[in-house]
Amino acid sequence: MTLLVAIASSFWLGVLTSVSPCPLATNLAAISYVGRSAGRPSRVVLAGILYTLGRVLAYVALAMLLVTSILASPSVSLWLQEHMNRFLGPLLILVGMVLVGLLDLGLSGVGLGEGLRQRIDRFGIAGAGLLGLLFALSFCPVSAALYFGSLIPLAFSEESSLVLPAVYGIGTAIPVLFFASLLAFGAQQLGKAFQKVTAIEWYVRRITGVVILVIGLYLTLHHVWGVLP
Amino acid sequence: MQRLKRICTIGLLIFVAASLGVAVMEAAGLRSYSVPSGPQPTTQTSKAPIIAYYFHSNTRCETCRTIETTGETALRDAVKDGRVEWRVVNYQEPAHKHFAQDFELAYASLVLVRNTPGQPLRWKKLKRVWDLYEEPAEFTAYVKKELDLFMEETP
Repeated sequence: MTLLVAIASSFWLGVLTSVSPCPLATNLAAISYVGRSAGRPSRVVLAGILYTLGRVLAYVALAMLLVTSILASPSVSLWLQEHMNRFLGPLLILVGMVLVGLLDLGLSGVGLGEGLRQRIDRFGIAGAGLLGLLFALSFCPVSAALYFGSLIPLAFSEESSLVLPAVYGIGTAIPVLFFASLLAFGAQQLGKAFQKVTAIEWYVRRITGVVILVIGLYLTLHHVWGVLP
Repeated sequence: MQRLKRICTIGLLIFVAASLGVAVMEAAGLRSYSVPSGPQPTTQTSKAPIIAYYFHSNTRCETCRTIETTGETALRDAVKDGRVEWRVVNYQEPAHKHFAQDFELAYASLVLVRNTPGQPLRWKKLKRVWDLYEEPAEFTAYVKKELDLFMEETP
């Protein structure tokens, strides 16, 4: 198999991973998070790039450990499937709480300078990278089968623990970026139509927070407490 | 309003702390939960020469259920004539975790196992089920062919 075909296959495997129903909850959270800066398209693009880089980093690092046989594929897959999802729910609840204003991290009303506010804002965008990394490592049955069952054997046969997993990571992020851009663009157009971009952004941010909070509650109840299907 | 907000915040933080505590305990092996997959004791004996295991995790996705039902349908004739016994096992249940090591499971899998007591364990993982699950005819043909080959290879 030529490297080009392997690259195309890796990209397609990534897209398949992303559009399968199994990671729907985390994809919804990612779309909401990346697309929440409705009034500022450059921030959506930056958050999207960081989200993609987070996923790429996770898949490449894992592939390097697996292809060089430092870790055994089955045990890593099972450990990540069993435990990563349990930490994801509580984390999303905290992110949702910050976005809806339930947690202000003790920073409101203490006379923050504009510089500090901007730094906190930038950390919010960097959070997209962290989210991408964590979501990538939270394998569900389909993503585990496609990554450990199809991509890793392909990376082995092509001796490519960098390019193919990276392309796979980009493939997993593309559908999320597409819908996040649609969300941001749609909200911005709505804001322009009513000449209320700032107000629309405020609502998008709150709705995003609620969506992420609900997804976090669902994932926690399902993976930690085992009470939801 | 402020009071309600405060109650929600404190309630959610307590929930998050408790959940993280449970998650850490589970990761450390101090607590475990699993979705039971029915009465499947590991010591269960079978008269069929081949046991077809469908292994799944606590998370049961649509694709995994499709593979399970299509696999069961593909092997129905073999089960009827006594060549195969069909078993569904959750490999994340504490009593069944050894299967993950025995059959090198990394995700939901269909595995054929030669049932010969006292003999070395011989098995075959049907890896292509994940490629063919959307095409039931091809899936069925693949599973049947693999079963025939496995029976020839391991008399």
